[in-house]
Amino acid sequence: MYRSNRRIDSEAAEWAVRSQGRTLGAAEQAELDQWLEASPRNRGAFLRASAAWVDLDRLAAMAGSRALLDIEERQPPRRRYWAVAASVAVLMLGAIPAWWAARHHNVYTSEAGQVRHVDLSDGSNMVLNTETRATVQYDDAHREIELAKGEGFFQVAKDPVRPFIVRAGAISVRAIGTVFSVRASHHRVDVTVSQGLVELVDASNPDHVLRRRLGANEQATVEETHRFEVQTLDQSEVSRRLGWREGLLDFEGQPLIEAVSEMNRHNKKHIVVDDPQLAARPVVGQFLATDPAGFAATVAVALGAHTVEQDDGIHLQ
Amino acid sequence: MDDDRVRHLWVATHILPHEGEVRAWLRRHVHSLSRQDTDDLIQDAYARLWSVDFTHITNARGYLFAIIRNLLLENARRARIVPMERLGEIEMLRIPSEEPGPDRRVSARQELERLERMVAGLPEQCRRAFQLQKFQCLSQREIALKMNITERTVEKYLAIALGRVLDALKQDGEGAMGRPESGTIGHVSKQSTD
Repeated sequence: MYRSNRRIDSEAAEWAVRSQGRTLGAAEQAELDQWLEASPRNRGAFLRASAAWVDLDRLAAMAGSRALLDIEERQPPRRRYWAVAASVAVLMLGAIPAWWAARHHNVYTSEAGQVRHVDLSDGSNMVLNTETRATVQYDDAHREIELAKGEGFFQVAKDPVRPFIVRAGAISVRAIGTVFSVRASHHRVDVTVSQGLVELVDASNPDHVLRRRLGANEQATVEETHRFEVQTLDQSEVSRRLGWREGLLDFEGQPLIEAVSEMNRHNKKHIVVDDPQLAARPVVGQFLATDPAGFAATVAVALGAHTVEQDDGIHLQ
Repeated sequence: MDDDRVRHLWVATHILPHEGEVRAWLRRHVHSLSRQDTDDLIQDAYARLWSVDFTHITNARGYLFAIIRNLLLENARRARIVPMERLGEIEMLRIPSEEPGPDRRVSARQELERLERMVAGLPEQCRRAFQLQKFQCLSQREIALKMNITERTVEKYLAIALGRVLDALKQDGEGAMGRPESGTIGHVSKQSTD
């Protein structure tokens, strides 16, 4: 029986959406397997549809703030009322906060190479980059996230009653309805805002405001001593820095050594650059964060180097 | 990340961006192919990528072209009526060695504009489901609750949106890049065989 490729495409689209969006039930999985088994074209169409659906995450990240604004204008932010209603309910019941707090104190971790999406109970969501540890604590007056290490991207649901606070190293980042990321490394914290405004506060003294407003496309780098620098980034630079959410690392001419240390963050298998001159050469391109071998091979070709596999990792020479 | 997702990402990054170029190349060089044939051929090509170990593919674009050319040869051999010269012709088809210049490639801005148009062209409910999932990162269940419809319906809506994206990819090779679907001129898509 000949089935038109349009028909196959639309079946493939549905399977791609279903299988990427949730875990399929056993019967459904069997149905999908049978469908895939039925014809190579089904498999081809499914692969193409799945790739296109994944790719939309990248596009959505690039579209970022514009698309978000669009949806917020279209829909009255209903969740704001829910949030208010929820906190009022807690105040009235009084005794409940014990289990409420227990339920809302959660630790999320991601392993090397993992990018983890977490939907939070207030409608906000966070995405954890590789090797990250975040503790989420919600109560009726606060929404607090402690970023012990790593990097998190936060899309914050508006809630005028409960500020959204991310604590990392020496600072707290306070936001009301915004999109930003925080990265905690050894002695510094980087905060990048893609939409809205955040406020930077001294973690040990909430009254000590370090910077009142950090706006869209601005990045602040704060050191332990609270010394900080702010720079303005291009929209494209902001999306590039958030590429890790799709498991991709995007380099636009950074020195090889920086690109390598970024790759190494995501992988147990490390890359070592032996030649300091090579280390300074610029790297351009988009790479799978979890594919150090592919990265090394591509870079070797591009920069006329070669790779040597050793016990401690892949050497670029 | 599980294996499927890695494969999907790989295809999204290394194959999808070249589909339009492959389609344009086919239209220019293999005149006997109908639109329907081209779409079949593309599905066949992706089917080959289904099980291949892509971690060793360094030049994905060249690889895609090679798959397409092999498929053309296989098809031509199977169809006995094809005169012998056709085989030679296909074998001689050169894979374009250079990627199209920056002016020919779809820029990020064009991609976004196309996405925007696609989203704007969706039916209201469908658009909302799509925006909630892709821009607000809500799960299907959450969208179902929010919109007060079943999860299955949410999935149907999302599949419609994805279907539009897949259709738009087909337009890439037609110099009608980013043009709204209704604006396609010069041919009626063949659906009569369905």
